[in-house]
Amino acid sequence: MQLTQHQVAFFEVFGYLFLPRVFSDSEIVEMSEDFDKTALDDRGGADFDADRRQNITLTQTKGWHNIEVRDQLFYPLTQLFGSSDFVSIGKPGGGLYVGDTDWHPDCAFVGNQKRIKGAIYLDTVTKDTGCLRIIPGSHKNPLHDQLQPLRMGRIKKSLDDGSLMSNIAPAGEKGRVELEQWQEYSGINMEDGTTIYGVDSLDIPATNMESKPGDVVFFDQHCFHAAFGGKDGRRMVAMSWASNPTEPGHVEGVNVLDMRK
Amino acid sequence: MSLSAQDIAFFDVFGYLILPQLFNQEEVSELSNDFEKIALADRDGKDFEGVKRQDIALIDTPSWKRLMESDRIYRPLRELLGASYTSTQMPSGGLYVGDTQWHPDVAKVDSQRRIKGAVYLDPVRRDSGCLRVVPGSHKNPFHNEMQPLRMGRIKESLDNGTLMSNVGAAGDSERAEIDEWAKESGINMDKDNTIFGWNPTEIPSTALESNPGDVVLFNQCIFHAAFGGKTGRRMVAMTWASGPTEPGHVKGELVRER
Repeated sequence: MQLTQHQVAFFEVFGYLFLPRVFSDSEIVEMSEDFDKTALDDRGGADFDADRRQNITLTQTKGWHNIEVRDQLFYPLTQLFGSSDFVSIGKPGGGLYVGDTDWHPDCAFVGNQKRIKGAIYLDTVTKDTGCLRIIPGSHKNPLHDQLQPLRMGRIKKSLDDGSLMSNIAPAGEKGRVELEQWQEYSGINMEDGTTIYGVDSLDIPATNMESKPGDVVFFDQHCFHAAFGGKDGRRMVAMSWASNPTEPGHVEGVNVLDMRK
Repeated sequence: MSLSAQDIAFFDVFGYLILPQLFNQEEVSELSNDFEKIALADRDGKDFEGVKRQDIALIDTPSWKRLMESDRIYRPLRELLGASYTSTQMPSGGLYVGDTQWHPDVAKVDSQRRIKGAVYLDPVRRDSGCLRVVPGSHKNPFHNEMQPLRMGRIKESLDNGTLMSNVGAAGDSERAEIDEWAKESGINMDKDNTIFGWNPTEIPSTALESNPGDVVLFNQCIFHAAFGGKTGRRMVAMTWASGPTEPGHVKGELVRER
């Protein structure tokens, strides 16, 4: 699959790209069955109790083996990274999601290493049923930094009332330090109510990446994103890549060309 | 009406704000009647042909004059622009025709904040001509990255004579603008990859659906457009700017509290 020049430019400007029908129905059936089997095994055969998100590692299954360097993803990624000189970060991680995921970027601060996530939903998701919402252009400053109160407010709320962050766990000491450092750095005091934190999360202007099984959503991991209204147990698999690390502090990974050998 | 701190932050981050039902239906009816009267008089009593936009000056009508002087407009603007803000364009109405492609009102981002207020006299929705904005595009680098949408449109108009915003074809000033921009940005619209060419209705944006009585405020550097509106839809726009502090800033008439 070859992206058009417009698609590459679109990703650069807005920070995301939606690719419909990247995987065929038969591929999706296999991926879905492997997902469910692994998830069930990880729960020791018990039902999913939906208290919090269940994370699943999928690399050992046939349907998901080396998914992150498969042609359907590898070739578009070479265009988005500008070359095949990029790395795969971690392993494809599946999840049975619970509730809303409030606004956040995966990478908190904009740097000079390009980071891309690919998301594959195994269930149909729409605007009000948990599809990914993205704030276009928020992968770059100043918009990225101006949206930080959405994330910092969430950390603060979790520290104050113990609410779960992304339905996984409450913020801890790391979150407290991050919040303090950010307040000092930005000069913003989250107590004074002069930021966009507090605007109804659903009213934050965003693009809804409604998708069906087989579609792939690529997005720059600095983009602010969220999901609202999804049913408990909706299935999503994410994987991420980064341009080749060239500086201290850049994330390391496995070279994709080595993985494809 | 006073804005909340969140409203002010929202406008700063995203570049727009809707003030719902700022004017009641009785006021809207009067505004609408005055609009129609002037529009008809300007056409010498003839029907609107719908070939191109009809611009209408409304400042001499009592209802629009009152709107401009209303505290309901003054207070939010003072909060967004500061106490020494100026009026840079009196209410100017239009009977709109067709789509308005992506463009900012103010082509270059600078240190003077400029705001347009839009009052629609007909309900407008996403696919019936409401204002669409690209949130955050009032600031750089986002603003500059959107420029190919505008420059592509100018180029197209220069190449084939299409009307810009259904008003007139691009001329020498636009030719100079595109040449200057090409030099400054290093982008050649004939050769380089840009987002120009992407279906305009699929440019990610927020549709500011509104009803008569609402006021839509937006930073004039923001990229905006409208698609699918009926011929002859009625909109009135007015503009303001923060007090000029540097050479090159627009000057207007100082707005004082009534």
